[in-house]
Amino acid sequence: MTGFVMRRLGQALFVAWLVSLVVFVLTRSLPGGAAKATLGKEATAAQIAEFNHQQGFDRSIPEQYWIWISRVVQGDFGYSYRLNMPVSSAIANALPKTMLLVGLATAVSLLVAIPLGSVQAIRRGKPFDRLIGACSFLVYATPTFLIGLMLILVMAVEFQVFPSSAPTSDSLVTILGSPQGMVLPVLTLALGNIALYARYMRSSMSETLTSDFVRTARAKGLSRAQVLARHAVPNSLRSVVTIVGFSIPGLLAGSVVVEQVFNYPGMGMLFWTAAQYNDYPTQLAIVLLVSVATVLGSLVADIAYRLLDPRVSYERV
Amino acid sequence: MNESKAPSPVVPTPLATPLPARAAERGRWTRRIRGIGRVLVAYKLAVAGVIIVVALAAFCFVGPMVYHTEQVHGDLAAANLPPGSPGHPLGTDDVGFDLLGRLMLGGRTSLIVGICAAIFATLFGAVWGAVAGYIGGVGDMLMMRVVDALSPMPSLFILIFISHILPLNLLLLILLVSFVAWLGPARLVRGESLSLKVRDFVQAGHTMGGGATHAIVRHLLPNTAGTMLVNASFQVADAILYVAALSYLGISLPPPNADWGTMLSNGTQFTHAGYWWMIVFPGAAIVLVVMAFNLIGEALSDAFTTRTRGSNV
Repeated sequence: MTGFVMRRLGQALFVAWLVSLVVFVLTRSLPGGAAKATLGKEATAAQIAEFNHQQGFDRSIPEQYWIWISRVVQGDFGYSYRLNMPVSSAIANALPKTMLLVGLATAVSLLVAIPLGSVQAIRRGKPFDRLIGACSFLVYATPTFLIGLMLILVMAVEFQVFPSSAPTSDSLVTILGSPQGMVLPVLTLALGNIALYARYMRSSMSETLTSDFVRTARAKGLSRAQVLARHAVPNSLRSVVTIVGFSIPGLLAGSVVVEQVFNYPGMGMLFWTAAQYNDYPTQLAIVLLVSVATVLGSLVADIAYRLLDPRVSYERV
Repeated sequence: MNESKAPSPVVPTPLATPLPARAAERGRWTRRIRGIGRVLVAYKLAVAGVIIVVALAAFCFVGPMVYHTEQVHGDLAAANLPPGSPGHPLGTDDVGFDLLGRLMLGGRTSLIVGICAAIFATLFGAVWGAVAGYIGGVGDMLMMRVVDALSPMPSLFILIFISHILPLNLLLLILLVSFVAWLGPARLVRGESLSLKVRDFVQAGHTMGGGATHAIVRHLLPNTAGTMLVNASFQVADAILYVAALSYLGISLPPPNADWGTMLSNGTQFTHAGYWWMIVFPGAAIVLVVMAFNLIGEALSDAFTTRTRGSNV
């Protein structure tokens, strides 16, 4: 197991390094260079040369990469001229908020999707299964911003149960202080994932229910409920664990739209505004961070999968 | 089916195939097409999906020939008219464009982007995967590491980033969406190619002097057609949703272009004014087309994998 984890970690580090190369290429592929992007179109040649010298852009490419990556490793992602603060501080402000949003949405999705998918599998082909399946299909086909908007119309405008925008405060404490503002953003983000996770849970559970050990458990006299709780559900959770690990980038990307709809100051909003003002250091830092988080997410998912199912062997892979 | 069972017109030689190669080829394709037909009949929902797609395509591409509207210059005197207004069966939008005509025009863009992006991404990914799987060794390693390095990158962020750097046009939009979508098919097809390339019929091709290109083009890719087809239909749906999300974030083709996503996100600005028709019609169009492609993909993937037996509980 330790060997597997070490090898998998090595792989993840290698992929993370490749990702940093791609992001580096992106930084260096800006039209007119980063100088023009930062200083604006009217910048004179002398100003550009000055900026390039200051930033080290007149050095050789490998040297530039080395300087950039050694700064990134120390948590220095450059300086955002638009926000007038280091990119790392801007991210430190936004990241906890997105993590709160995505974390809550993931928790809600799992809490709803696991029972839902299980019941669907048990009642496979029955009206309940079909109804939920149809709803999932509908939710899945609806653009996220439309879901958010409809929730606002119904819950905030029509019935005035929840506020239509998320708490915009800078500090996480204030946001936690007014939890009702989080309900609609979390719900919007969660709905799509409930549809996705429930589908996985349903198909995984359907497969488990046909397996021999379930038959054995039933045959040795366990009740239906016991079989489901002790054998079927735990064994079906594995594929959901994997999909949760892999859906992290989707959740973060989805949060761009959701944060926009509810005016929530997280990473998606930070990225979106950075894109509006050509704030490249901020955008690239976010891309790099999210990518590395995804690599780590799939690493954790792999290890969790392995822990949950001792039969899976990665020895030869 | 019939052709392959028909008596051989060739003088029988011990090693010859019972049919001329070309006829066998035709037989294989007929069988494949009939196979797809059977699948569609077996899955009524998939048929519904196909019908929806064909109907929407006809609506978008044939509709404007019958129903002429002005979609370049707005008419502010006729703005925000509700459905049922004279001359505007579905009403008009905030600058006076006829909504029915705009749905047709916008649908063209949405369908073209979705379908082209899915085809590009699937074909490119499949060729990449098949080549990687076929050559194996260091080449395979390098090619798949490229896929590994690109796939964790948040695709929506990359799309936003690039579309702010380059001026957006139809081709670029298609390329951008396919750029983030080709990784999945590349992985799938590589996996299948690994197991296909050691199979007897591929090896037989080699012994008869077929090269790498022959093996990849004639054996590996055709045999992953099922995977590619399933993948492509889901990708059309995903691409249309992606483009809609992008347009909500303010990234869309410049006017006078129209697409459903832009129409919908434009309509969402007028919810509080009560102009429901600007949301309902483009929204329904997106949901309908995405559901249709998902239904087709679902049925195809069901057909290409074995079905689950009954429950033991």
